[in-house]
Amino acid sequence: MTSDNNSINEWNRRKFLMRSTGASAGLVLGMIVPFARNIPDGLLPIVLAQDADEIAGKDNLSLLNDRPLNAETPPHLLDDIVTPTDRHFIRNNGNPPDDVDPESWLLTIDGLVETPLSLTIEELKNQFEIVTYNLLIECGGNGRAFFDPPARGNQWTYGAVACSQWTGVRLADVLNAAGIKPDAVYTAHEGTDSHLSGDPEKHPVSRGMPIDKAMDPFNLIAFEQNGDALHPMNGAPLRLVVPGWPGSCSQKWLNRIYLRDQVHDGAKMTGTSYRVPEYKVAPGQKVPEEDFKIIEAMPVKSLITYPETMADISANEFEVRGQAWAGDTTISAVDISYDFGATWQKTELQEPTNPHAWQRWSVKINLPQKGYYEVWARATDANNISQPFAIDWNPKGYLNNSLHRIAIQRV
Amino acid sequence: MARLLLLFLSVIAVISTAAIAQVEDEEPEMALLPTGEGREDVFYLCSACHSIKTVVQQRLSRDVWDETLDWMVEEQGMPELDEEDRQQILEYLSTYVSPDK
Repeated sequence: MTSDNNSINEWNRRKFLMRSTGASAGLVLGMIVPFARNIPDGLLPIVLAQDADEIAGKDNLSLLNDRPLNAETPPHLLDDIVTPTDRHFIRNNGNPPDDVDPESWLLTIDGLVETPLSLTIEELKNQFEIVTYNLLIECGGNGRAFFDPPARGNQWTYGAVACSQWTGVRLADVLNAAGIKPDAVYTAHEGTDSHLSGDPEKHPVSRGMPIDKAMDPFNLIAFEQNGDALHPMNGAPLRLVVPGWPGSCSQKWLNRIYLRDQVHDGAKMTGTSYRVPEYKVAPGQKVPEEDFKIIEAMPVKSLITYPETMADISANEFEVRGQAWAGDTTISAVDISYDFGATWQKTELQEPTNPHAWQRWSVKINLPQKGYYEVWARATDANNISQPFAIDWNPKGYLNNSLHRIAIQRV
Repeated sequence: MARLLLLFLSVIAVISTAAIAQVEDEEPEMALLPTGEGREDVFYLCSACHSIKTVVQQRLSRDVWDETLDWMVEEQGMPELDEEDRQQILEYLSTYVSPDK
């Protein structure tokens, strides 16, 4: 059972004892395996081979990893204009906190501010205007799975994106109350999730943003998700929601924001984390670390959420619909093609419910002839930038906004 | 006689539960790694901090695995490996968890 290598064994034994049980296999499997000791070498238990695993309070997400927990939503389950909590994706860098008490939770605002603050959630609600918006969060690595050559990291396909309804107070209002010092240029965020190694000195993720972006009135310190408590895996009881920039800016289990006079250098801000090369590179090209720049706004993108891919369609005319979004701007058009891009059709596009929400698009298409088709969707943003047809390769697999394609059988 | 049997069975039940609790946490994950030399070293090194799913999701070339091991040591708290162990781990990963798999 054990490795021959004593030092590796010892490392594992020490870590096993320290390991938080929060997101262990037991949480995912939720069952005893009576004949576990009989499992032959190399046999993969069926339950682990399934795409969709059970996560408490979530509906059929595809599990990429259980430690740390990372799960994405199949596109056809993102059909609601407001993503229900049980369909919001989960991206964890570390282990979520085990014990969370919303009553005693404290948010510290310090660093380069005139008056540092320390506020309970109740105090946040009493002292600042409460607002509710539908806000888009997308992981910077959404679409990484399609990179060739492959990039290291969670192999997200399409579903590391959601647009839930968030209630909270404006980050801008809280920072103004603390008083932003003139030499402050960047925010730095901290949460109570713990590092996988168990080292209490390390944060699994601590990113930040320029003050300009921080003051966007749609950035929220949020304490409600779809009118209810935040899901424990989505950052309960308090988180940042910074729509339009990579999801890692939206710190979960938020307990501190501090202002700095330099670009923040916390966990996942440095090296090549959430960075892309400053210039175009060929697939597989080696790029020196100093030639990377930090990702800011996410690019224009869309999803087909109906029908589900591989659907059998028996009617001549049927609806195709989905969502579209673009970083810090809006969508001006979504076009679809069902002949591999030879011809394109305009779709009907709805206005977003508020800035930084995604936009619904829909169209009726007519396919009298039986057979196999693909439907492709291509969004264009208000700056006249459209989704590319192929991936703009970068070493870490970020920002894949190439077209979503689904298959249908006209039967 | 019946009392002895009952005692025997309850002892077995306690040992089995403890063993199963240990085993259910480790064996299902081990099964995710293809059989090959270095498999156990990879399992025990990597699963100390994160699921083996983290490893087998990837399809990386040997030099990207090499950079990854550096990053684990420099940023993520993994202990330095001695050269022989490192080569064994790299050999396994670049054979079984590569773009060619």
